[in-house]
Amino acid sequence: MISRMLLNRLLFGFVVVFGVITILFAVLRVIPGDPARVLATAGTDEQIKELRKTLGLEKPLTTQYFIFLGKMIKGDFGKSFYSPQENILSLVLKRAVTSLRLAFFAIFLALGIALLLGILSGIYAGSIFDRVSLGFIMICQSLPNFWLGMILVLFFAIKLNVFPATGDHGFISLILPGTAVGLNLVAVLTRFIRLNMIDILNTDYIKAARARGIRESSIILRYAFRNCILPLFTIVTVQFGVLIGGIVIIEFVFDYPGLGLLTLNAVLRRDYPLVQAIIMVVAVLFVFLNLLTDISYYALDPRVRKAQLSQ
Amino acid sequence: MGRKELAEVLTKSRFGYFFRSIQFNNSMIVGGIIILILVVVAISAPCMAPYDPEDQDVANSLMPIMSMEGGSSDHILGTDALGRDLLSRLIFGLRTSLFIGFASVIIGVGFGTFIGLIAGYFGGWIDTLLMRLVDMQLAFPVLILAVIILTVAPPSIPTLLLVFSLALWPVYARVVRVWTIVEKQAEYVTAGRMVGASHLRVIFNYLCRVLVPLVAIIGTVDIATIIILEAILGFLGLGVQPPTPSWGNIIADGRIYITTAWWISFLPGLAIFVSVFSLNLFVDGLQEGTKLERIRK
Amino acid sequence: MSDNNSMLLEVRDLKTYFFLKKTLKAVDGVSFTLAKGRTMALVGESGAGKSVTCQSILRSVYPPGAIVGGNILWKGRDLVKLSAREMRNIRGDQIAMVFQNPLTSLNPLFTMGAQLSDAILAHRRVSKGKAKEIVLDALEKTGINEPEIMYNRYPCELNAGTIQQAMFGAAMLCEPELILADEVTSNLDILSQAKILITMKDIQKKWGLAFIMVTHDLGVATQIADDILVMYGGRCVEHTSMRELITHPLHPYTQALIGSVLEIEAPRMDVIKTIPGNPPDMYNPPNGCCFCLRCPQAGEVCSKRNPGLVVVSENHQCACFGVHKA
Repeated sequence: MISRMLLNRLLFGFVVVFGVITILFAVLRVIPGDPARVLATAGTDEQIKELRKTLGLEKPLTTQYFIFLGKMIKGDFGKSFYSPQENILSLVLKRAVTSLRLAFFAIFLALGIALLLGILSGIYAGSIFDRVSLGFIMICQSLPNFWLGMILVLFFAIKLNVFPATGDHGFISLILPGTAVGLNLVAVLTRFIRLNMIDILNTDYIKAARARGIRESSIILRYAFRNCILPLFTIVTVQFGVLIGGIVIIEFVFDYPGLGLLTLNAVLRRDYPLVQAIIMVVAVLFVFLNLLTDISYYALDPRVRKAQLSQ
Repeated sequence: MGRKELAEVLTKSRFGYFFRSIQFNNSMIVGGIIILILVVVAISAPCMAPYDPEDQDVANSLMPIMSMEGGSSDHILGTDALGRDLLSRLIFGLRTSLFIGFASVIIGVGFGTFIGLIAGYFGGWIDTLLMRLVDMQLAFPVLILAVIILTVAPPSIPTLLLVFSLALWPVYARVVRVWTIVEKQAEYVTAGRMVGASHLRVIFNYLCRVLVPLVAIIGTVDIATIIILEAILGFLGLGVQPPTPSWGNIIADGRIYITTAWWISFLPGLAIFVSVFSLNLFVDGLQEGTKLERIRK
Repeated sequence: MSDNNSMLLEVRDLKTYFFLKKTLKAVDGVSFTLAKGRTMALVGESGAGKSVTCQSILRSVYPPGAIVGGNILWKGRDLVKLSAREMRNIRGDQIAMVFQNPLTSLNPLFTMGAQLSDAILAHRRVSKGKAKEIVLDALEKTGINEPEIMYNRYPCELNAGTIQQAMFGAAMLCEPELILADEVTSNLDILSQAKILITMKDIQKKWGLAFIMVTHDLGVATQIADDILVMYGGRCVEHTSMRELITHPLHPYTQALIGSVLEIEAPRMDVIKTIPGNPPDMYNPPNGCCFCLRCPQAGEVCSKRNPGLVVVSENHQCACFGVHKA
């Protein structure tokens, strides 16, 4: 039953994390040249020697792999090149939480607007409202989000001084970057919800419900709404990947101390241990998120339950 | 299905018939016109731009737009920190963006379609293997991948094209694969096989004829995706390198002057918006005109 | 068809068009009457306008379609003129409809019972508990075993036949006087089909309901209908009692339909009789009789003028110039 499905997903999750570890290991060894040199181009000779020792580059390949594996599992990511005094794992996790706050804010904002616009345009498809809404959506889709971020900062933070321009000062810091991140998401979600709503309102079961005399408001708010919401889980999960790209660049523009900014700096400065740690944390996060989605689908859609049971 | 009907199906899939059946609508026309203007400007950039985009004139740096105080008709859209004419830089940036966008789409979408066709048509272990590759890449955020690659390899045009193609191909591989799986069971394919067409012929002559127009329409929108991606990378300093102008690096240049000479960062963004918007408008209209709405990812 | 006062439903010259890029004349002048407790079969090919007629009766035609003309007199009131709210009161309560595809008639995310209870709650001020009782009662009436268990099942857990029976139960919930059955057996296997027909006959015997049974299957129609209305190209071509139709079909189309019915005991035919040609293009219906292009008895006048339904004898109307003359 549900436990078997959970087990299945968990197992799959482990496989994915395992795969990521292996790729991390392989990528470095595949690049021609001394991996330590490649990594620590900006490091001192001391750091490079330290790195060679950490990477165990003298030992045979398979031994290296298992040592690497062990370290990953224990969460030992070594030391960052640029801030060797900090514990990498706690740094990454702290920044991840900050970014997640931004991400969730953006998602909720986008969902809120998308649901409103999407459902209404779906019901009144073809009307003026629908056309205006579609136009608005297309504008949202076409604005480059980092540029919008800069404009927002210029206008609201600097000229009007309503919101902070940079940094993390609690909730109020989320608003401007959150809007920039959520911008493209609103477009995608609204389009999807709208199309879904149009389809649903044309299904036989909605027509049958009307034929039974049920009030239109009840049909939309109870029946159609639930049918419309369900596939959103998958969509949002898929869009999460795109969202991450947006978060990275927006954090850069707003100097928001999240994981995106950290990653960007780490990659640009070739701080390999840090990059490695980030990739691991993100992979685990993804697996977890997918698991959550699967569980929600199981709980909400009887057809999924039936399919699972018959396996 | 006899030979005659088979021939009919194949001819009908040719471009001519397809485009003859398009119904024009407003979005398509407006979007199309703007795109056409942009393309013309891009192609004739050396003629259209009033100055050489890399021509520095420090005496006249940070000049505002013509209509503002301090502006002049010499530099309609003002100049940047090094006195380079902004309008010219924008025009050449358009050229760069359109070229990169177009080339990346052709390579990336082409490659993705090819993989999707192979995976969908042959199935079995080829399919599983290819799709696993697709999944692995899709799980990784495009921007991070791009940044990583451009950190390791220097950002030249070929590298950029590679990066952008990588960004595009997985989604197309997936979509085309699904399409192929369904389509290979269609009557005209079975008929073709019975008439003796080899696998290769079926793929390239039969399936492609129907597929290529579809992919072309959907792929056009990704030119916009690439334009934006290129701008982001340029903004981060990983795209087209200065002094060659690209909208991304012009915005980056203008960032420090945002409170004083805001137009340096503002105008390229506006240009990006107009290009992307017109592309989206055009493709939306095209999808409506040929009733392809549901094929989108 | 007896005197007008006892008519439950009287449809006069109903016209329902769909306004797409071209106008589709789905129903183009349909008239009939239906008495209390009688079953009328609405027979014709796909696209003849049968389903749209039923949807028109329930005023369930949405843009781009609209009822453009005619009257639908339900117990004396013209349904075409009622407001949306008044119509909603009638839907499900006095006139109910059962659809063709049972598997798509129910919302997959809600239990069957919940949806049926909703149907009651929309028309009666009762508590949720009382509504559930009524539903269980109705499910039993339509011959479903273990209604308690079925109530809590989701549509994906039930089979088509059971759902269709439940749909009849749903239709019965508010004790309507007319049920529109739109191709209710077309998606079912023969056994389920039989079950549904038995259910329908049962309901009619016990509660005196009237049925309009839309079907393209003449065999099914003969099993259950008292009267029959044959439609073609959005118009009526013949309207009479079932017995009369089988023994004396007048319209060439009806004759061809009857002729092409496959019988299980008939000798094996070398050529299965069909009607040559295709159904008419409903965007451009022909000027004259809509059947004239395929009619073996077509005459000159047939392509010029549309023959209206003419009373040929008591209880028998036909729209055919060939018959009028005779």
